[in-house]
Amino acid sequence: MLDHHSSADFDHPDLAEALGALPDAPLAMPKQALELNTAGLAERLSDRALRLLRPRAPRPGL
Amino acid sequence: MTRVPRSADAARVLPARIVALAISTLAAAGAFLLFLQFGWADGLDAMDIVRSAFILASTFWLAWGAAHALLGLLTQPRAPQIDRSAPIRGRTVILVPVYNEDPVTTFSRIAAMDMSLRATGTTAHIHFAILSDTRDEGIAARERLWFLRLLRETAGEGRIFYRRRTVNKGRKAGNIEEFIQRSGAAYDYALILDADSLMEGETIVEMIRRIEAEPRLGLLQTLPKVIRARARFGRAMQFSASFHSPVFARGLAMMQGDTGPFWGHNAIVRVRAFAESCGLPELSGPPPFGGHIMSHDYVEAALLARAGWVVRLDDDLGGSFEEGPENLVDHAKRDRRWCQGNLQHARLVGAPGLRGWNRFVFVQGILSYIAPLFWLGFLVASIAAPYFAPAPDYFPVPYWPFPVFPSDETWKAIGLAVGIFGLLLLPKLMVAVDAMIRGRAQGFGGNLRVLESTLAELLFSSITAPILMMFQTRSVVQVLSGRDGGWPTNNRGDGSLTFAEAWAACYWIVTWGLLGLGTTWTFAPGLVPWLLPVALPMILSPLIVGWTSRPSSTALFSTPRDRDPAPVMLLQEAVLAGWQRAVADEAEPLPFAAGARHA
Repeated sequence: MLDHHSSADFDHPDLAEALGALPDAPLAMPKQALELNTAGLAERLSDRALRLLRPRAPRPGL
Repeated sequence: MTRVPRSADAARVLPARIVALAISTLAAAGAFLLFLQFGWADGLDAMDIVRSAFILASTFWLAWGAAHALLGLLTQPRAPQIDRSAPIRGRTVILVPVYNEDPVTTFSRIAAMDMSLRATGTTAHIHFAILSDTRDEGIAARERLWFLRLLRETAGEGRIFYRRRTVNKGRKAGNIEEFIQRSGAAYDYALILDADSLMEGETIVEMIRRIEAEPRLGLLQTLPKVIRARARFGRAMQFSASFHSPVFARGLAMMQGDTGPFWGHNAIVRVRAFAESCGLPELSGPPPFGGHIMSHDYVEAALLARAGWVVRLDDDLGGSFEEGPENLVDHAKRDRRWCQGNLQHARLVGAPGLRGWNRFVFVQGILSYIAPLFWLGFLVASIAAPYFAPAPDYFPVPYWPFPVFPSDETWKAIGLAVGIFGLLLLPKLMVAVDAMIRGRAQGFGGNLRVLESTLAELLFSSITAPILMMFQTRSVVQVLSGRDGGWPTNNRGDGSLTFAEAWAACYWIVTWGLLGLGTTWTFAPGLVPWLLPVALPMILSPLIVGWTSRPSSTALFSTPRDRDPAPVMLLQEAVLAGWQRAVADEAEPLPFAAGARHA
């Protein structure tokens, strides 16, 4: 409670910050991926297209 | 992490989505065909197709809103079945981000909520944290002073915290993120408020119980009611938010299922879920499309859903309040910020891994700001249409001696106008009838008062719609041309505007109204009667904006909280009255001066 502070304390400009100090209990908040990786997407699509276009070996028996 | 079984959620929400989509598509297709037939009567031209396309888009949007109301009327709010006798184990922090707000008013709300919580007799571990992003050194000094007074009056040392950031990185989202990175591990749940939020202690405790009872729940949103509006504009908005919004929100809740909304405040989050999922990156490029994410709440809801958490709107929860803008100019300022935030979401529609509904919510937010442009486009195209129309051919059949006159399809245009007005009016009238049948109207002053208020609100929104359309159009144009709106402080005081202030805000709307009417009069005089409902409010906008900003003296737009204020409202009024007396007595600088401490 505040009553244990002397009246002189209340003249201190940082008293609010001192009394209001938040608990020290850090928690990580990792940044999330939100933007579409268009370069990566184009690469994946072109790889797929190249695979489709690549001539395949004839199946045995044909 | 607990993942949501998506198939069960999809099965629950799919019928509502199909109904809303079917209603909207049918209405839009019908309007499109009707207008196309009307345009075809004198020969089809490019402008007929353009106008029909604008009608298609506008009608779809209107019908989509009407479908929300229709769905909302099909159900009633229901509280989930949970064990309310079990002790609350989780630790909760109530976050109050402030930014150049008046600390006397803001902190009096905290004092009232603290008293309201204590009155519930809860033994739950609940703290408050005031997270100041205030830039104005004078206001910051008053914040520190009034924080000490708040501590004294609530005996809140160790329960109520205050910190001011020196750098406002990430605005409100960054403010909360900084808190989590510094103190998040000390809490299981965080109730996120705005500076003007007020919540009943019982509601807060119930929200904690609900999030504790459902381990998959990442975020629980309440439907805040607007309170304490005094001006005509504010009271009309307050009535609409209190009377219509719960029904529309229930319809929304039926469609969104577990991928619900987050409106940035009056919602509780599971801190670890929020921390793991909602760290917002800065988008590449400069504002308004790059940089910090402005409308962070929709994105945070999408990220929680992406990580498998349930995001839910519980519309049965009362005791959740906020204050709103008192005049149309303040509303437009806030809307400018929301406009930029929603248009910025265009960058995120394709973000990896998001649930389909969340992507749709982004599109829906963008459409809500683009839709007025459809109407504007339709008006401009209609004025220009006579110049694109082919010359009438009264002798289309060679060698046939008698003229053939094009069929008069005016009735189709009238029918279409009636249909569109129906989509605008019918949902609100249905809500009124439903309220009368179920007895909800009693809280709003009885059946007759509800009918009067509903009709007055319809008239009010019809008159202000063209002005809002112009403000929204300007916002969209500004954002698309790369202008950043910044982070203006919300004006939450008495919103009365002088005529000079209203003129300064609206003269450009008057100019466009006169130009539009003059052009139509010159080039398409037949359209003048159709244009008047839009042009007249624009030309009279300074008068309308000024008049609606004045205090209301009618009993119209009465809400349950006008007649029967919530206990927490009364508590805040009592605290605020005492503190304002201190300000008047110039006791403010020394709330802890010797001798005054126990006064």
